[in-house]
Amino acid sequence: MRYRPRVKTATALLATAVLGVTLAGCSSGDGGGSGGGETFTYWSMWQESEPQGKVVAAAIADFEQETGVDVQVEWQGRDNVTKLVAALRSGDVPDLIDQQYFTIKNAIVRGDQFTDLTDVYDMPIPGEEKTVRDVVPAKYDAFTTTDDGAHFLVPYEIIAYTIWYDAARLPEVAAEPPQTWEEFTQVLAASKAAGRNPLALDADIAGYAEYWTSTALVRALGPGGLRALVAQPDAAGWDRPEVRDAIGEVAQLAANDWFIPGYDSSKFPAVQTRWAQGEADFLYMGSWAPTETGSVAGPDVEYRSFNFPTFGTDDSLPASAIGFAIPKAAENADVAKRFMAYFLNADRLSKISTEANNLTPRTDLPVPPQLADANELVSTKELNPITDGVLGEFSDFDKETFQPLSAQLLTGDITAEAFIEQVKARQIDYWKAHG
Amino acid sequence: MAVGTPAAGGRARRPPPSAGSVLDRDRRKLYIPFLVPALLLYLAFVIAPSVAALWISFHRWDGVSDMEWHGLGNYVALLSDTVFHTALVNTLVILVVAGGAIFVVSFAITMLIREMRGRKFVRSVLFFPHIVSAIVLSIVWGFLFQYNGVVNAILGALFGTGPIPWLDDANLFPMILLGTVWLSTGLYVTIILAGVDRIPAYFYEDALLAGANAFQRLRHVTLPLSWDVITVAATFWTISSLKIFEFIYAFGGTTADLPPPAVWNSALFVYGESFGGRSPSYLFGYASASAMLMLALFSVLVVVLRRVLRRDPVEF
Repeated sequence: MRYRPRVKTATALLATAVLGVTLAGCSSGDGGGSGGGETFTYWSMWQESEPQGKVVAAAIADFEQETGVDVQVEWQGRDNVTKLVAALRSGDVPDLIDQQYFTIKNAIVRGDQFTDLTDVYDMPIPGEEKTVRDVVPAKYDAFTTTDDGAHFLVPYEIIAYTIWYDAARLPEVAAEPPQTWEEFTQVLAASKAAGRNPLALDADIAGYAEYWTSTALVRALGPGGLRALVAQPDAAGWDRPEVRDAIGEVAQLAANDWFIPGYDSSKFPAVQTRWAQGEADFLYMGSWAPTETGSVAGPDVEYRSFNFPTFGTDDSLPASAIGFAIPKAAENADVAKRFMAYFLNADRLSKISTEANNLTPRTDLPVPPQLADANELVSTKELNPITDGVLGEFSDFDKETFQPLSAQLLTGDITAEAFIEQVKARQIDYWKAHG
Repeated sequence: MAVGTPAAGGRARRPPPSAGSVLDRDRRKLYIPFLVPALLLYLAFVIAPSVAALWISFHRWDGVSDMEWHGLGNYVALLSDTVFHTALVNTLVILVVAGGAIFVVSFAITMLIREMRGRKFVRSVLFFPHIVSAIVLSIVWGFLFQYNGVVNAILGALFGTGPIPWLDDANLFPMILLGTVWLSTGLYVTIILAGVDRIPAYFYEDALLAGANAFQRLRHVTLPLSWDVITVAATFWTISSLKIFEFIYAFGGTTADLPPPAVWNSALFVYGESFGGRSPSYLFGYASASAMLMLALFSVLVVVLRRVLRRDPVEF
């Protein structure tokens, strides 16, 4: 009688163990190796069905065929860097990732978890008599280098932030785009007087509202001025008259009712859709705007854009870059670096422009007509990180203070004075807590 | 005689030795192998991460570099963080205001459909919002209530009113409360109805004969006789209200952006301080500290709630 229950206990333990092993077995499906040849793993920020994903996938297929390298691609989507941060602790990281520069900088540069790519810049581009540095010149350093001058990124797509309009509807603007803030506000006032809605903004995305405030402050203070302002633990810089003036000018946009009605209570992308359908004149947006609104726009829309108007001397172009990076713990960094140089070849990279309708760092490649203005600005203007880099460097402050206050300012919920008062108080608290 | 008694009495306390008791004892031991795997998993995936979160909360940590000891610094910083205050207040408002509304509406519906024909069908319909993903519902709600949305179109057509800014800064949080009530009511109707269904009909008949109105029947029959179910439901709501995340996230935010901090609850605060947004903050120590504070607060709330709601069970 004592014997049977023991057998039962043993059987139950065995059964649970077998079940456990079976379940564990189910989950380990990707153990296959590459059979000894060269290989690298790439966690993409794209889905394979996205235009950029298709371009990268085609380049990978060619690279595999030409070099015999086996590329393990995981189409992770925009969470790829978040997943990378989680993976960094385990050391089991991909060899290649891509994302916007500030996302990568925020995740792996701060903790010194990146591979210096300076040697990639010296590599020749396969099929061309140029090096990577020839096609990605120093003007992109703001997006690709650390404070110490090390390269952590090789960009393959540039985003320019410009004020978009339909030249077919507004030929007089196309003939003479406003350059100063005064000229710009005159155009807006004229538009309002003519019974149109001057401006569009999806205000539920506070990050879009922030474009207005941050660029206005860069215009007032020069590139790096806003970043320096936010870096002050005592927040004293917000009292400077030019800062107050710039915020005041932005507040006037809402006070003058220049935004399309309902912009403060819609769900993205409702307002930019209305803009694309001709219900409002101007949209301040990244160079993805024509692609994103193309399918809903009217048939005769002629996308054009101009640089954010000037307050004084600064006419830098707010921009961002998407590119490749390699985590420090990557095991196959060398072959991943070779792929970077391979992808920058004019034939392959131009598809980012011609097929995915975006700008590349190579201004010698053909661009779609809707991006001609933006490409011209990328070639001729000094590039300054969008939000003056505050989004990446002080992301917590940006997300919890600067963005929501910008959205409130642009929807007319708070005055310029209230904006400055609150931003100062919260910046002082922020530095007390996280300084 | 007197000498033998204590020994006999001592022996009498032991269970009489028999074949059946050995079997019972061994059978009782059998629970161990069944319990151990679950316990190990629970330890590995719930207890250990919670302890780790507590440990992390005393540090500054970006998830990549080495942890830097910060003592109670994160907790002190939270006390003066206005965004955390807002998240805390919002969490409590969801708990109390949305919770109160859910229970009032659930009781009203329970009373209404208790004797209704096709009750099971109605119950299924009411339960439906709880089955559908909160993400899907929040997207649909966004389309319904936005400026050019269906609700404003219908109101405009019926009453000629101008569009109402349902989703602007001032209205977004009340709309989230409304959505939460709508999402959860079906579940609580089902739970409460299960308790109410057990109450024999003759109590209601008796109350009717005594001239009790609907409210009196609720107060003197339904509430006391389904009290245990209500207690469980209230505890369940307290815990689940702390964890509400996806509806606020998807209703207030967009694909890459968090909702405005003015509508964050504690769960969104934790996400916002760690992985959330286009450019995540990676403040894991700070996020863990806020999660620990909320866990402590809600543990106290649950204990207090259970104490306040404790009643002697009514046998029937």
